[in-house]
Amino acid sequence: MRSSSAAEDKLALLETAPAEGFGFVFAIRTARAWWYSAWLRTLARFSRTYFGSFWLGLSNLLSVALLGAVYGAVFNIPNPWEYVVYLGLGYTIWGFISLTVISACTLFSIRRDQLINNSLPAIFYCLEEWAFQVQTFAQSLVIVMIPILFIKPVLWLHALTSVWLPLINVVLFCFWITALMAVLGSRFKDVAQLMPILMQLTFLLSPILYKKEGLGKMALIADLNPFYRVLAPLRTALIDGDVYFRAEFATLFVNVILILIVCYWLKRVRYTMPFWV
Amino acid sequence: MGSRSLKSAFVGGLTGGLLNRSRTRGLTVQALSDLNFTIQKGDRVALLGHNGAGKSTLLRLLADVYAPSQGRIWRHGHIAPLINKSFWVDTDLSGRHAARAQYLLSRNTINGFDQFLDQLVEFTELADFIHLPIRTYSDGMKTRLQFGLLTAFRHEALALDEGIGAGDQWFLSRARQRLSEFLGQVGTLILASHSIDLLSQFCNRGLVLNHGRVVFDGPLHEAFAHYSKGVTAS
Repeated sequence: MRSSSAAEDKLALLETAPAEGFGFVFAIRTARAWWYSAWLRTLARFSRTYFGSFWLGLSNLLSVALLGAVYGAVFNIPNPWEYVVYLGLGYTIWGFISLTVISACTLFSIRRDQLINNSLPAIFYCLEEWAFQVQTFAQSLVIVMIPILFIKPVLWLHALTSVWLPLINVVLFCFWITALMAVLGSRFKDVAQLMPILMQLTFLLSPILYKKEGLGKMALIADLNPFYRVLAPLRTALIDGDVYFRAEFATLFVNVILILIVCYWLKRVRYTMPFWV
Repeated sequence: MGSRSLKSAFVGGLTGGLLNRSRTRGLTVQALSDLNFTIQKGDRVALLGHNGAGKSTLLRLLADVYAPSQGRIWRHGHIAPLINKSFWVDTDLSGRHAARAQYLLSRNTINGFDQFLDQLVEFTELADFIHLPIRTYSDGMKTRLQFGLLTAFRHEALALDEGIGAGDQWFLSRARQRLSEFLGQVGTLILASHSIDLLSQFCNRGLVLNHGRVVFDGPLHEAFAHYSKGVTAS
């Protein structure tokens, strides 16, 4: 048997490597930490369930199947399988955007203990939340894509070829919206109450359950809807394999600018944030 | 300063802040004021003061969690705050997950983690429990794991709140030596505590706080005397 002092001696003190900075450089340096921390949240969420993180896709799949059956009949869709693909992809991407917005509103309030007790920049929590939503989305999308493989196999080809730029845009959009809503949700407590209602309304006003053409003269509603503007190109790229490069690069540019703005904003409110939560 | 409601922000915006100026500013608490001191590299400073004197707020200021509303703080190097003693991860996860998360947060790399985990398991005597959810641990096992994780990393400068030395019998017999080694290797230490034993062991200078002001700054034994006098008087 080892003596207790021998055991103590064996746990050698390790050097720390605190990451410097607030923005992009900090995000890269701490990437493994926030990505792993986000993954642990998924593990914790499903730790005592039988299906584990498979629930993420399963619940989504069930919703798509039920909505597809009901609304396919309501709208009298001539080709129900194509409608299921359209709905399935739109609903999954919407789930990603919507969950990102709603969860971000309470991000800093939930992480209050960590926020007031360590000096990690606020962007770390935004990155972790964003990574959690990206991981959730990736699992949901893959599980939805499995049955789609049997309905319309060409989608997998599109998923491997056309989808990258619209996908990057959706993912980047979700990062800056996370940071934006996290700060707004901390500053104004009403935001966390307002956003679920607003997102529900936006969902009904967005061409997800129905085609955009169905809006007729009211198509402007979809054009002015920023959530739909990032959702639609990804869905189109997956279903038809079409990518409008000019529009996508313009969106990418806007996303990058907005990311820089929210990073700067996070840096500015860093020290006032602990007093808001 | 606190969070605002959209209603007060809207009314304040429309009326240029005239209608609800006092309401939007919220309740203001001045936790600290008139602070002016220098902590040199290698100093070992004890923060003394009654509950609510501003010790934890000062630690957070020094560790860059808060910024002063007036004045400036010049820091040379990183001051690590050791204020929160809870696990970073959910207690539905295992001790191994907690250790890995803490390791990544402190070192930004996973290199050397397996060796670290072996040493941690041996030190905390958790054996195979390290792979079980933390919620299944006894209080003593949780304390051992927390203590092992908190004292595993060397810091250039440390802002430490009291409580790390509290624990079960295991601390009295084994962890005292570990705490001593951990604090002994910190370059600069700012330690807030009510424990005269703990402060005497690791500090040589005392700062006494009263209602957010430094009322004494000097050798530790004089700081104890000053603090004791204040406690007796009150």
